[in-house]
Amino acid sequence: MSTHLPPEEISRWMAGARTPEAERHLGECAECAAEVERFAATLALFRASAWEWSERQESTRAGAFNAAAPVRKRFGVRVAGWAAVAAAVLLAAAVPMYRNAKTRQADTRLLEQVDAGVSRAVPRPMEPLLKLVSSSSASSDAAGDNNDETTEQK
Amino acid sequence: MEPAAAPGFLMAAVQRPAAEIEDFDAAVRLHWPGIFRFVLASVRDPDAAGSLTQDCFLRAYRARGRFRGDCAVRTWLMQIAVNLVRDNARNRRLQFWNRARASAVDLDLAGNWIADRNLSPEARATAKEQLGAVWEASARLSERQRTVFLLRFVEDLDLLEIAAATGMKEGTVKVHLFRALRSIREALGRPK
Repeated sequence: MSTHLPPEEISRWMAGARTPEAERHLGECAECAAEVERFAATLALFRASAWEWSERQESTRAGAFNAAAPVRKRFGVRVAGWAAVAAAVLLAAAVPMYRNAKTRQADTRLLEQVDAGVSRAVPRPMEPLLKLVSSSSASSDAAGDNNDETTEQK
Repeated sequence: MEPAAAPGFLMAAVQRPAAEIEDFDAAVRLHWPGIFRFVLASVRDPDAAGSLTQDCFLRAYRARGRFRGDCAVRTWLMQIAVNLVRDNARNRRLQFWNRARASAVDLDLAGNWIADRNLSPEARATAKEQLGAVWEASARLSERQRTVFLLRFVEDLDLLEIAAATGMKEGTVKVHLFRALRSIREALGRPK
């Protein structure tokens, strides 16, 4: 046989588009017939591996479908949905409350600081001086008292 | 009466697919393996294949009242499975993982499977190489080419059954199958 089936013709043959000419050629040409057989054997190997892989995986999932399961699933999904809605509502209510509580605390602290600032006689940096002044005035007061005593004694 | 028996028999044969779906549990037992196998070979993720197969039978269960037996139950179920696989493939998030899996997991699978066979080391190496090439090449096929390829060469559906399951014309099925086989042959290092 001088000519063989064009490579595309083998794919076409395997795809089911079989012409009488190709059929006749395959009956006469051992080389082309062997090529078709090799390709078919490889595809059979692929098929067998897919079946075996599937069977191995499937054995872990046997009896997975139960006509009642969808109902239970829907019920489960519904319960989960309601739980999620309830959680969202609680969260939505709790977050502003938490934020309000935090804001109130912050406001109280600020007001306390303001009160402290307002009630302060002098600015904070000058407080040490104020202490010095207080202590010196106290000592001068004490000295004054002493003076008064001496005056009275006089 | 003999003459009356023939129409009755024919009627029963015509109604058989619709009657088959009435015993849904039996239909599940009969067709689950084939549907799961096709979906697994298509998506290559056992978990996703399990979910999609479950979904396929769930949809069939809900629609069983509308099944009139115009085609075989297997073809009808495969039609649902093909649509689910197509929708799944359109999910862009999964496409990335499918592509990643196609090159790694399947070669491991092929290797493990070949290792179990009673083959000479040379034959095992050749078979592993060829099998890996077919798995890889089938992952690179277009969605339609892969679907018809798997339905034909994994599920043994004939061209008319594939046409019914995919909604394509028989001629279109042949064209997709031819292109798929040409790509597979190319991946095997054979001339196109």
